[in-house]
Amino acid sequence: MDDKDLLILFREEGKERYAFDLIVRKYSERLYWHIKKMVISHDDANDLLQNTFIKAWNALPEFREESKLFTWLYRIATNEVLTFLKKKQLRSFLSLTDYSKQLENVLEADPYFNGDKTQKALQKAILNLPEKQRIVFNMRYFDELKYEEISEILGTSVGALKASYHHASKKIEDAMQKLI
Amino acid sequence: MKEKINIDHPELRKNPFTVPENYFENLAKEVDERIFYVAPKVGWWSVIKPQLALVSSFCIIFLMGYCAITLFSPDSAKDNSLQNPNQLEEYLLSSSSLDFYDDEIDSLTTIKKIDPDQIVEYLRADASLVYLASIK
Repeated sequence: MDDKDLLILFREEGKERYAFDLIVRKYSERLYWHIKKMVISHDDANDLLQNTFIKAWNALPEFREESKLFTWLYRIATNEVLTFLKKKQLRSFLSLTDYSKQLENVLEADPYFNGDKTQKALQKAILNLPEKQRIVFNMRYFDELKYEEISEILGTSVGALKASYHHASKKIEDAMQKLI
Repeated sequence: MKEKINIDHPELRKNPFTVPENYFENLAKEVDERIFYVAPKVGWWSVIKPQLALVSSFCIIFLMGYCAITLFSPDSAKDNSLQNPNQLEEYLLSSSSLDFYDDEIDSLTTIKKIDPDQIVEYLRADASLVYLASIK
């Protein structure tokens, strides 16, 4: 079922719960990986994903379809992640570098990491990027979203996103060169 | 020299993370539960029960204290007729410390009057005292 049909179903009397269940099933995996690559910890990712869906449930009756459903959900998830990271950084009085180190430690201890040495080096290099650059890189590199879609989600121009991705790729290659 | 890293390698783009077993299958149910979970209705009895317990424990403590003071206080045996404030005031005005003075039992101020016959009898009984009295 495509997003349009899901939204029509959601607006039918007594079908909201069923329609929303279908939306959760359709997008939970994509949104989970988007969140997980930012926070690394599975528990944090799970909490943020559930919060994303709860916020979506509350806001969906007012959703005017000015953007696609999936970009709208991505935007909610991204805001949740950025708020979470900011709070965590402030609460632990850590600088960006120290916080990246903390996330690297979480990655090292993550029981759900199944990659090889090169993949771990890549993840560590990504963790050392500034948050917004990290989001842009993950969306383009792993989720393979188009720049136009990322622009819609983040509210940033396509040109700025291309520049951001280019800088991020360069930094990652340099960092990996040192790590491997 | 190290080989230059190419991040566009398809192997690197693969997702290196996994999830706990059946995570995505259970997620929809968990989200549903969090959204539609209705807390069980709390009855009025369970709301007032702890408050009642608190009030009654204060009452018990107060009663125990009151009983202890009433039973073991030295004033507990005082005349009930003086409980009335008017009577108490009247009593205080009508009595003073002089009312409690009894000159018959006060040993410091009582002068014992001795009968003269008793003196004569005493002197007769002890001759040495007579002799001593006659020496000038």
